[in-house]
Amino acid sequence: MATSVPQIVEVDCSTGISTTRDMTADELAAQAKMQADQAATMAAQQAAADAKAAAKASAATKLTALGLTADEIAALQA
Amino acid sequence: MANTFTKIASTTTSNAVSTVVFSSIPQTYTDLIVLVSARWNQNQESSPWSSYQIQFNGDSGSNYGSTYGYGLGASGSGGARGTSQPGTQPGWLASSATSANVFGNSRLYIPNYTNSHYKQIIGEGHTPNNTTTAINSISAGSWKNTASINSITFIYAGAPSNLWAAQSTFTLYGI
Repeated sequence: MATSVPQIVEVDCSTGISTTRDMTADELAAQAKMQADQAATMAAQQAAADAKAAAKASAATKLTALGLTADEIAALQA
Repeated sequence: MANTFTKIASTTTSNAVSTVVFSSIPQTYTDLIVLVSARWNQNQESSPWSSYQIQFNGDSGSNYGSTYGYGLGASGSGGARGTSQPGTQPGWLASSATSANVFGNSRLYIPNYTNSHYKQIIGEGHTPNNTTTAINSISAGSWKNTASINSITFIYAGAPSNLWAAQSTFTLYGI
């Protein structure tokens, strides 16, 4: 089965000519690197958000154990 | 100083493509404006709309930042900030999950694109829909580079290939 190569549209503003072509090997490599970097960034952001949510839940549990009401805990988190 | 928009170049995709680039941008204007009418071929962010990114001079390094806010139909509003990104995020456009044939619109304002300072980008995005998920967004972005801007790339760094749907239009103006 043939694999379609991602395409790029390049508009040369000095001539006004638009050219649609397959991406070069260098462009494909750069795109793959960007995708990997983006995935890593998003994973790191999600991990940080998950850790923050877990810490928040843990703190609320400990505050409850100390006798604070749900309203009081909510007030602290506002 | 020019006192009106001058159309520099425009393109409409005839088929789905991964990337759109304006190259050899003339250095004779003060500011640049880009108008985008586009739709995504995929549903990368699992929603009827998705953000996109722009890069300058082929720089795909983590040299961009964005702060953005949005108003979203049924669920109110929100916003976020990103630093050290591989492109600045100027707005949201329609994804494949949007109602059929709906395209989003975006406008970018790039002031003083030839000066020797870090560059700023102001973006707006609007994606209408036939449901309750229309979105409007605004964005303030930056490119940490002092070079004059001679090319603009429209991309989404995390997206698979051939993201931009056919009939997506990109038009560049100088002021």
